[in-house]
Amino acid sequence: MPSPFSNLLAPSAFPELRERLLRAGMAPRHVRRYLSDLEDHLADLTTEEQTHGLSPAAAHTAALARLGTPDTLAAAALAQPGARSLTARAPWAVFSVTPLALLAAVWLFSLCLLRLGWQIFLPHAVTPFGHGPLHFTDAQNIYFQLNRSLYLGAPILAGWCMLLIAARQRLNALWPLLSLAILAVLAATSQVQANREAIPSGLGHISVDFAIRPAAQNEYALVVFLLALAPYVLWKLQTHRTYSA
Amino acid sequence: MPARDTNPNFMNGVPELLILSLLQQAEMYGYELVQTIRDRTGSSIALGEGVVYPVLHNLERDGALTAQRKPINGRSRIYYSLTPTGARRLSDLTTTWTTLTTTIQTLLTETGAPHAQSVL
Repeated sequence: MPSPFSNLLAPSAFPELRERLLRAGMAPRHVRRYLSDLEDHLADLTTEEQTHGLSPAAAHTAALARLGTPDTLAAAALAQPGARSLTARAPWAVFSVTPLALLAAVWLFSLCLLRLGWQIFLPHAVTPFGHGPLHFTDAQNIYFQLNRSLYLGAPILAGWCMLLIAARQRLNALWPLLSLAILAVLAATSQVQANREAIPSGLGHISVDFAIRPAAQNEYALVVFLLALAPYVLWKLQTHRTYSA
Repeated sequence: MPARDTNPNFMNGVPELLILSLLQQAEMYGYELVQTIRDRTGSSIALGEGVVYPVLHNLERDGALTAQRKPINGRSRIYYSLTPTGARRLSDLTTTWTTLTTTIQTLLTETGAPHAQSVL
């Protein structure tokens, strides 16, 4: 089964240039476009040199020389204003604000689903969290369990997104680890409250509270952190193997 | 084969001017553009051919060029063409360049630099 990060190691005719540009902060989509154009140009130059009588190998070497050295090509790309990605320019902002925004979005969606399920399946229940003799049919149970999985998995999903961003940009591991730490703490300290009697109209009220909880929550934070980190570690190992081979 | 020597300091802004100037006449793809520059300048402007792409991409981002992918002879090419914004940019760059060359020419003439008439 291919790694979800396998496209980050996609073969290129200019692997050194690709890595250099990504590490210098050039946006991955700009790097991809640049390398694609260079590969096309190299193919045209090689064909041209072959029409002048050079062997394929000699034509390829001559074409590379005409294209420019990696230093020249990298300098030309990095000199352009707007070439550097926001991730490279302000990693502290991207890796602190984006995970919060992602987590908030998924949690909000999940809480909306909870509210919807509460209204549809348990219209008379004081809370959707199993107080009282609630008898879920299979469909109801599946609905609420899937939604619970979405809520609990949101920090991990958000963490994977942040790791993917960091891996694409070849960033120092410090930044995605910061994101994972934030997400793990939020996951461990949050608790959803839902009660129909909380407000007089009886419409029901759902909220998320954050508080330091017993030591078990520390273990939960660690589990979230490690689950989110696992794909990144696998990718680093794969990268190491690829470049060691 | 060693890479060609280039003159990067002198080249600042020149590829952009050349590209906009040529694309004013006709739409072209990258390789075609570079070969046209080489042919028109008699290879007097030496640049790594790959360096035109960052310039093209930047001009495209700024709205000075539009890019369109077209299949030609079984290969996909990205053709660039000038926009009204690009035409204005070309006009500005041309004015700046003309002023600069005129100033340098005047300076060289006044100081009696040898072969001043043929430098620019």
